[in-house]
Amino acid sequence: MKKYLLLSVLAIFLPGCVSLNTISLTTVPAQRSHPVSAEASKFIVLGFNFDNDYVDGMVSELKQKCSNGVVSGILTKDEYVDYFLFIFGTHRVSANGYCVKGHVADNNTPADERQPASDTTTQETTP
Amino acid sequence: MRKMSERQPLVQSAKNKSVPKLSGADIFFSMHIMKLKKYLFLGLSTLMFNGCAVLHHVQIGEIDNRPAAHVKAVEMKVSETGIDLNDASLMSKALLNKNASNSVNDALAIVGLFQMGPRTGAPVYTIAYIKDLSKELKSQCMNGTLTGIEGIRETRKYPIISGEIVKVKALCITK
Repeated sequence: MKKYLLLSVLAIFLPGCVSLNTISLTTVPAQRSHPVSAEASKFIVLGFNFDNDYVDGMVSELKQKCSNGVVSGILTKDEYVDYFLFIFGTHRVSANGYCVKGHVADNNTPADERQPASDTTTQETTP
Repeated sequence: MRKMSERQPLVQSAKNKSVPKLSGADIFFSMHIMKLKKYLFLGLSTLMFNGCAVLHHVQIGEIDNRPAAHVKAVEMKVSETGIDLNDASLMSKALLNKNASNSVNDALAIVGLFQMGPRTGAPVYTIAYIKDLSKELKSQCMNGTLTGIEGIRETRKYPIISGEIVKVKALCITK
C-alpha cells in the first residue's frame, strides 16, 4: 500500500509543468533548407534569480551558426518549466530560425533595401 | 500550621502571576522587542526581495550576418519605477498600527481601482519612458542598418517598488 501511495505521490509531483510566457515570429523566408537554433536556460530555486544575462548570448550563437548569411523566420519562445511546486524550475528561452546564405530573393533582402509595398499602393490610389 | 505557612507564599506568588506588575524597564524592553520585530521584518523582506530579476519577454529579430564594412553593437535601456500595492499593503500591516494600516489599505484599494488590464510586472504611473526608445536607437546607428534586434522586458523586484525595465540590444552594420 505504501509503495502505491509513494508512486502516486511521485506521479503527481515529478512530471514537469510547462507554461509559455511569450512567443514571437519574424518574416519567414522562402528558402527554409538550413534551420538554425539557439537556446538559453537558467535553473531557478524558490524564484531567486538575480539577473537575466543568460539570454544575451543567443544572437551571437545564431550568428555563429549562420556565417555570411541572414537568419530569418526566427520563432522565439519564452517558457518556464516547473519541476516541483514552483520550488525548482527552469526559465528557458529558445530561438529557431532559418539561415539564408548569400544575397537571395526579395523576401530576404534587408528592410532598408526593400521597396515598401505601402508606397506602391499609395501611388496607385493617388489620382 | 507549618504546612499552611509553607503554602502561603505559593498562593501569593500565584496571585502575583495573575496580575503582573510591569516595571518601567519591562515596558521599555517590550517596546524595544516590538521595534526589533519591525527591523527584523524589514531585514528579512530586503533579503527576500533584494534585486530579484524577473524575465517577462524576449524577442529576437532578423540577423543579417553578411560581410559588412563595419559592425557596431548598440544598446538602449530604459526603466521606470513600479509600485506593488500588495507589497505595500503587507508592509503597512507589519509596520503600522491597526488604524493607520486600515487607512493605508483603503487608499491602496482606491488606487488599485484605476489599475486594470493585462500587464507585465508592477504598474507604473507613466509610459513616457519608452516613448523615445526607437528614436534614440536609430540615433546610435546613423546611416546604418540595425539588425539582430533583441528586445528584453524585465523587472527588478525590491520591497514595495520595482524597476520596470525595457532593454534593446542590436547590431549596427554599415556597408
